[in-house]
Amino acid sequence: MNNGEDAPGIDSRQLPATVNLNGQKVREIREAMGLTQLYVAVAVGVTSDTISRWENRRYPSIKRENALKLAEILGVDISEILEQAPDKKEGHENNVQEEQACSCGETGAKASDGGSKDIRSHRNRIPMFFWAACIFIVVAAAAAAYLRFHPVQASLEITARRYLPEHSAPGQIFPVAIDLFIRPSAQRTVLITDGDDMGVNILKGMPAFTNRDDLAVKWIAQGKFGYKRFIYLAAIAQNASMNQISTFTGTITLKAGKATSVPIEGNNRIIAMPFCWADLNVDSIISDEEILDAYDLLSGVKGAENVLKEVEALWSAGRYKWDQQTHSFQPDHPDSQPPASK
Amino acid sequence: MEMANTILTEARPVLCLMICLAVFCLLPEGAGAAQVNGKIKMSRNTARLLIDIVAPAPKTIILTLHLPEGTKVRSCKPAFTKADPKNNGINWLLTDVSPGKLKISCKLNRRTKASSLSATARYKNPSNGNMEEVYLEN
Repeated sequence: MNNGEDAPGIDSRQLPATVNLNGQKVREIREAMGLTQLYVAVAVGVTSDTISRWENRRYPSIKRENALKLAEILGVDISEILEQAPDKKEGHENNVQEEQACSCGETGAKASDGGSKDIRSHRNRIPMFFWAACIFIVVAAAAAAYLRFHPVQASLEITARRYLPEHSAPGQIFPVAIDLFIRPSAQRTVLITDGDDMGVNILKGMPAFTNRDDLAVKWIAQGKFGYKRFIYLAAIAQNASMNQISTFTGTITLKAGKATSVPIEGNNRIIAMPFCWADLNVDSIISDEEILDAYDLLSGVKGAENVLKEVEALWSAGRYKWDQQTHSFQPDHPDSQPPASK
Repeated sequence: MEMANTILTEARPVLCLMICLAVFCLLPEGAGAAQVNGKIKMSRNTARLLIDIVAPAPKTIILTLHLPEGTKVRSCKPAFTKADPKNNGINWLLTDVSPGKLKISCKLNRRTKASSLSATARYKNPSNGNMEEVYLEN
């Protein structure tokens, strides 16, 4: 092989850097000689896909060196395999670039004479992508235009859930938490109102109440929030009889176009019982899980430290009992000793 | 067949990505390392509990140390919160926990092998609220 510099019948130096190939002619000569596309591809130094494309005039413009090599392998003069019209067509440079990319990136071992199937798939693939892209652009533009003139009003979702213990002893402080969820999150002013029908003294709000009266507490919260927790401390009246039930009601009100008001969901009643509010299963023992639940609820809440300390004291004591005389909880085993030799 | 091969070859990165995504999505929630790990070390008559806490850290942890029969606690740093004489154990209620390392030391009334001690950390998993119990290595 002489790199095509001395191909017979034409001065290779007169050829332009790229030439237009007569693919049909190449195919005829190759088939007449009984050569496979793979053989020619290996000899020229390109892939069999490239040879296939050349023969089908997919890329009629090829590099001069490749054309000279091809002519040499086919044993013909270069002029025999070139197209007659020498002038370059539109898109010529792009085709050459594509040819180079294809030649470099492929192994060239998979195609054979039956490469026409590949050609068809390649022919079909680009228009398919083209049409898919066109459809996507049109649909996206239509959607954008629709949204521009018909903006979607994201539906406002407000959920408020009250955490209220099932029970508490008269005079003992218990926490009430209101978890407020608002979607979508946006700058808002929200009014939270909660209270009981009777028998419960509301003591302290975290954050501090905006307003309060005998029956209800109110917070006005402003800001951009999706979730916020409001906590207050309360106590069943000391003179309340056991099993007395107090019922809570509350609402969340906010203005989004028009005023919207939703009730606070969750537990809404508390029963006076001789058990700590954190003793969920009323077995007179604050279990590990119950103390962890209490801390999960109130940990880090300023103003609730004493409530937690009282529950912690009952957890440490192991078992507790309600002292009706002092209206307080007492350790049930005051003599229990730790394994400490203090 | 050739078309299928071509599709498989060209779409291999996409297929790999989809398989990875599927595996990630099918992993059970909370799968992975525990938020709390620890070791018990013994030197002379002092037991040391070395606790590693990783994010997202639980707010509160209950640490329990069980001592062998006849072993008593002279002092602990920090002081234990609760005694469990029935099981010869002591508990710490660790509050306002944040990611990092915690060291607890306990001086005992006699030398004891680390293997004769056992300790657990109990906490609520912050990602799902489930109660978790982790045994400290010794």
